[in-house]
Amino acid sequence: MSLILNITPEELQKITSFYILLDDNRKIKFCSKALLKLCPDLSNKEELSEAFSFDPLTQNGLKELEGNDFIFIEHKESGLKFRGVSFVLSADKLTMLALSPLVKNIVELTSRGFSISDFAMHDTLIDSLLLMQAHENTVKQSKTYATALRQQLELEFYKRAVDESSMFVRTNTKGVITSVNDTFCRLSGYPKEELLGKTLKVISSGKHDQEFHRKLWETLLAGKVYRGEFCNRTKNGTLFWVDTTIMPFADESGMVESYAAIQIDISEKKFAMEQLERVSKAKAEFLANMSHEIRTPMNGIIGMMSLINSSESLEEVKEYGKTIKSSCDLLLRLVNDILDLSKIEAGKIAIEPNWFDVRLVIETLLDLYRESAEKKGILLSSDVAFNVPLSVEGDALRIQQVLSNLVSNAIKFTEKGEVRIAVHSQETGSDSCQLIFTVMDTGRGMNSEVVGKLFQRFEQGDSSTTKKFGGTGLGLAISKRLSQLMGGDLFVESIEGKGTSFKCEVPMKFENKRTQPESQAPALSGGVLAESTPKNPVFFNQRGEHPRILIAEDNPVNQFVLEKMLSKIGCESHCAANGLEAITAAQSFNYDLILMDCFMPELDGYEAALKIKNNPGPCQNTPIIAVTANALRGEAEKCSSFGMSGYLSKPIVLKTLSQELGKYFQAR
Amino acid sequence: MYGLVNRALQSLVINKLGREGWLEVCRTVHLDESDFVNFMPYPDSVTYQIAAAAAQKMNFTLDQALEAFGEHWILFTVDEGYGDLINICGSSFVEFLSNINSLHARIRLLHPSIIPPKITCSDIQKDSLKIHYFSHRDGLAPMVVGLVKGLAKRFNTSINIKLIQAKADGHDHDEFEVQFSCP
Repeated sequence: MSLILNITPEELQKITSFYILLDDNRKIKFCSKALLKLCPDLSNKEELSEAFSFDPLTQNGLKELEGNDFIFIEHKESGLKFRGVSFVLSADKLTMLALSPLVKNIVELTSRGFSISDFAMHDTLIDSLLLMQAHENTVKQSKTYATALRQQLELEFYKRAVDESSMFVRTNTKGVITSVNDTFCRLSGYPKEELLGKTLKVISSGKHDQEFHRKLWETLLAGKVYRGEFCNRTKNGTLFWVDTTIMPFADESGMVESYAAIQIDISEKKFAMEQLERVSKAKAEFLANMSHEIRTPMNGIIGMMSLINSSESLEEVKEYGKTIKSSCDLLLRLVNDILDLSKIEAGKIAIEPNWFDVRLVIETLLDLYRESAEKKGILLSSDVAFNVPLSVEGDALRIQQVLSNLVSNAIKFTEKGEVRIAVHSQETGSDSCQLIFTVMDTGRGMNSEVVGKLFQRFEQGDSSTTKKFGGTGLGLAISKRLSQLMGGDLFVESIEGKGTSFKCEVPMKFENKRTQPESQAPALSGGVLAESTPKNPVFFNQRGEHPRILIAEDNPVNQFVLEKMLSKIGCESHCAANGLEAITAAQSFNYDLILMDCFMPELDGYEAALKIKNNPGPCQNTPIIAVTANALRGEAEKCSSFGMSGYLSKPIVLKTLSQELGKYFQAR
Repeated sequence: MYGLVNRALQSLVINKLGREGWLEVCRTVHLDESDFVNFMPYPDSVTYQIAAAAAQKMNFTLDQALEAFGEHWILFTVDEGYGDLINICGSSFVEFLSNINSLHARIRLLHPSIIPPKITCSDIQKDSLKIHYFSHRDGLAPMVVGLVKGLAKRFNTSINIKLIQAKADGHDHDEFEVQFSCP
């Protein structure tokens, strides 16, 4: 089938934009309007070669026009390159060279004055260029997004890192919160919606003075970064400290438009520092008090001693001796308090339960304090509820220590009225109960600030109290801790000017049977209170002679005291000044008993005892009693492991020495 | 609509209200993403919701917002790298308007899912012409007013445009009369 298209060159322009028609002789016969816009010189050219040069690869030149291959030509005048393909229009005996300018982008066309209407409607060149343009823009947008995404991921990473550890808050220049992170909400206790739109005053603690705020704003208004520590307040009123960095953010004109703050919670560190400072201060005060407390009785002792030296009257000496005794008791109590507290802190106090009668403990307390109460004209009374079991299992010694401290305090701080010791029981099981000891007074009472510090270690309710009333101020801290060690607690209620009530609650086991307790109320230790003065025993050994005792003690005063005490109870004594001397003495004489100080120069008492026990000699079977200042738990076991039969804790009083020796000798 | 349109809206809102304002608009219409990809199609409803929310934030009526958007569109496409596209469409206000339909037709070849409006000119005089706006979308006549105003700015041409026949009145298309004076 042959189809003759009767189409004019002008009509052809609507199908393809750039073309040349060549006649039989290859002369230019017609150029399209669009091509002439690009290559105006074509309008007066006859030969194609006059206007175009052929691509080096198109070596055959015009010959190629006869084929259907692409040719590449360059417009000599403009340098514009074209891709072409030729068709032989046999009906018209013409050759059509259809061309496409090789342009990279739309700009190359617009710069030559082209518009979209210059192209044939069906010419895809412009579509290709639009596609390239769109592609280029898409790549550009992708790059922008990729960069933004990377920045966002980085920001997310930093935000997460900040969120984990820090609070973040952003405000406008008036301090109105515009953004907060979850950590800020968590630590401040406010939900986000309660913070946004409010000023930072919402979390202000009011702890910072005007100067603090002045410096803050001075820095920020100068466009500088502010760093500082803020004390803030949570929604529920708790204070918290934050280490804060505030950065001002400026707009394009350089004006500060907002502030961003990153805050790290340093409350623990801050409170720990405050606590440390408080404890340090309290320790310093404590040491100052201790110094005072030690010097006071020491002054009494030294003063009395000098009076004794110059006295010729036995009555006077006895009187001075009483004062020395009370000063020594005071010193001893001080040492015992400190020792007790440090033992509690070191976990070296063991609660030793035994069966005892609560009523006896209360009676003993009344006996001990009745006199001092009467002296002040105070009524000392007790009230043991009927439901308090007859026999309970607990550490009677520690309970008595706690109650003793409470009663002595009550008497001390009560000028008139009453001190009352009450006990009642709350059953907690078939054989267990909670004993509640209450010591109430009608004394001066305390305000809440004093009450708050009452049980704190190294703190006294009121440091002036110590100066006025004496005492170590450790008694209540010890009592509280002892109560807790026994599984209970110690509480206080006080009204200033009206009186105070201490409540010691201790869980106990009780016996349903009405049996007599195994042990009676223990005597108070340390000779602080009314030491009984029974007649001194006089000891004899098995041979009926006065016992001969070796004193191994390096301190001449202690040697002297022991010698005198032993002499009072019918014992003869000989002294060795260290462990080596003690061994030598033990090898040369058959002593009935050895009192061995544990800490001595040359060789300590433990080693000396072991050597005496391990080496044949006259004293190999002689009982050795350790004399030690180390009152810590486990000391008895240690002494025993070195072959010693018993131990006496310093300071030794005649009564305990007699009791110990009574185990080995007969008394008359 | 293509992301490019939404991005143009975003750009307009940021220009008027700042980045925070744009994020607020996004929150109002519960938009998960606050950015769009130029040649990714999005539901028309997204564009309408953004336009409504933005109008409210800017204290504009919807018609005012659409006109502002139309005007901004020309500036935005130039900023986005499509300035050459406008240039190839014509070197004068009138030439551009005459060729815009051809441009839309070509864009449709590249992005077949785009359904561009048909815009033709008639009664072209030396200082006036009529624009015929055919669209399957309703209510966008104010946007055309903005587009024409933006275009006139682009070609430093002062114009007066008024709607002389509205689709809203039952006609098959909107018709505008434009008076212009070229530089």
